[in-house]
Amino acid sequence: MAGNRRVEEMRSRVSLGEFGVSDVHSTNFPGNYSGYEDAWDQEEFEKNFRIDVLKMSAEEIEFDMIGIDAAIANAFRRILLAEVPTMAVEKVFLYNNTSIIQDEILAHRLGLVPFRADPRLFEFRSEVYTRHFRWVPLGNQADIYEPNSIGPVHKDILLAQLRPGQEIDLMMHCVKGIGKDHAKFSPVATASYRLLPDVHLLAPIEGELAETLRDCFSPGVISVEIINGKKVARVVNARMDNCSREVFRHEELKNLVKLTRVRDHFIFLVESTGALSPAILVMEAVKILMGKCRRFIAELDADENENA
Amino acid sequence: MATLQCTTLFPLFFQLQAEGVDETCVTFVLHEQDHTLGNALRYMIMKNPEVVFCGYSITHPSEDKINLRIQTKGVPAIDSFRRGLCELTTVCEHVLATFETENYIFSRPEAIGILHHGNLIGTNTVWNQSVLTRTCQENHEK
Repeated sequence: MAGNRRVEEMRSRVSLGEFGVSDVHSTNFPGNYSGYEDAWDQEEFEKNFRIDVLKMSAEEIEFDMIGIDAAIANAFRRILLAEVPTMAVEKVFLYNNTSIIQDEILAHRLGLVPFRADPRLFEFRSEVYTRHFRWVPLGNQADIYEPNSIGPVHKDILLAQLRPGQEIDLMMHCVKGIGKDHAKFSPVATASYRLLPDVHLLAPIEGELAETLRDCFSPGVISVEIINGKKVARVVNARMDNCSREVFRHEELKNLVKLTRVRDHFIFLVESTGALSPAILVMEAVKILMGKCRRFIAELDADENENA
Repeated sequence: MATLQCTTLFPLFFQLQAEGVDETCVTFVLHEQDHTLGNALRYMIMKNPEVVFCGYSITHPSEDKINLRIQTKGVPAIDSFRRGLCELTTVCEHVLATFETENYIFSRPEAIGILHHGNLIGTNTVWNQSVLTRTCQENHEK
C-alpha cells in the first residue's frame, strides 16, 4: 500500500526534489518505525554488505560499497584524507640558494612533492632517523640505498627555475606524518564518494518529450528507443547521472520523474598520490578505524582490571 | 560519591557524570577524536535497542576532543559504549575482509582488463555463486 511504499522510500532513499533534498539522514534506529526491527544485527549486515571493484590502476581505484551507513563510509573517507600516514619532506637544510625562489617557498614546495616510500616500513618521528636515501634532483644523481626504489613519485616536477650563476644546494629530511598535521602528508590526491542515483519514470514518456528528457540527464542515463514507430524514453544507466536535477526546470517533465539516491550505496573514488597503491590505502584506512576502537576497548579493559 | 570519575591514562578518555550516580546516563570525553570516530560510534551505539539517546558534539573546534553522551533504559552506559566499540570493530573487520577478497578477485588473470558494470543492482544472488561463475557471467554480459 502507498503508506508502506513511502516508508520504504524514507528508509532507503534520499529524495531529490525541485527545491531541496529530503530524507537525508538515516533514521533506521530501533524504535523509530513500528513493525521494523532495526537493532544492529551483524549477520544481517554481512549478508547485505558488498564491495564491487570497478576500476583499478596504480593511481586510482573506483569501487562500490553497498549496505553500509554513511557514518562509517564517511569515517573511511576522512581517514583516507587525513590519517593514513605517508613520507614527506619536513626539514630542508639549505647550503646555497642564489635563485629567486625564497628559501621558505622552496622548502614549502619540496614538502608537497609525493614520495615513493612505503610508510609502513618507517616509524613516526620520535624514533631515530633512517637516512637511507638521497634526493634525486631531476635525474642527476643515483640513489645510494637501493637504486630507484625510494625517491619522489614523479621525476619531472618543476621546483624552481634558475638563471645563469644561480645555484641551489640543499639536503632534505623526510619524515612520516599524517594529513591531520599537514596536508602534504595526505596519501590521496583526493578520496570521495557519492551515492548511487536512482531515476524512475512515473509515466511513459514519448515523442519529443523523450528527447527533452534525455537531454536533461547526463549522457548515457536515458536512451530513446523507437517502439512501434514512437520514440520512447527508458532509463538505461542511472549510475552515470550527475543529479543536476535539470528535469525540474521543465514544467511538463517535473511530475513524471522521480529522482532519488540510494542511501546505503556508496561509489568511492580514491586517487593515490603514488606512495601506496589505492587498494592498500583503503585497507590501511579500515585498519586505522579498527585501531581507534581497539585503543578504547583496551582502555576500558584496563580500567575494569584496576577497579575490580 | 565522586562526581568526576577519571581513568588514570588521561589522554584517552574520561567520564563526566552528574550528581547522584546513575550509571545509565553518562557523558564521555574522548580526547584527540573528531567526527571520524564520533559519528561512526554514534551510529553503532544508536543501533543498540537498549540505548535511549546517543549524541556527540565537538565542544570547540580549537580543542581536540568530543563529548559523547549515552543514555540507556537500564543497562550501564559504559557497557553500551564498549558494545558500540566492539561492534564497530567487527564491522571494520568484515569490510576489510570483503575488500581484500574483492581486490584479490579483481586482480586475477580471469578478470582481464577493466570490468565495467553497466547496471549495478544491489542483490546478492550473483555474489553468492562461486567466484569463477561471477567473472564468467560478467565477461558474458559484456
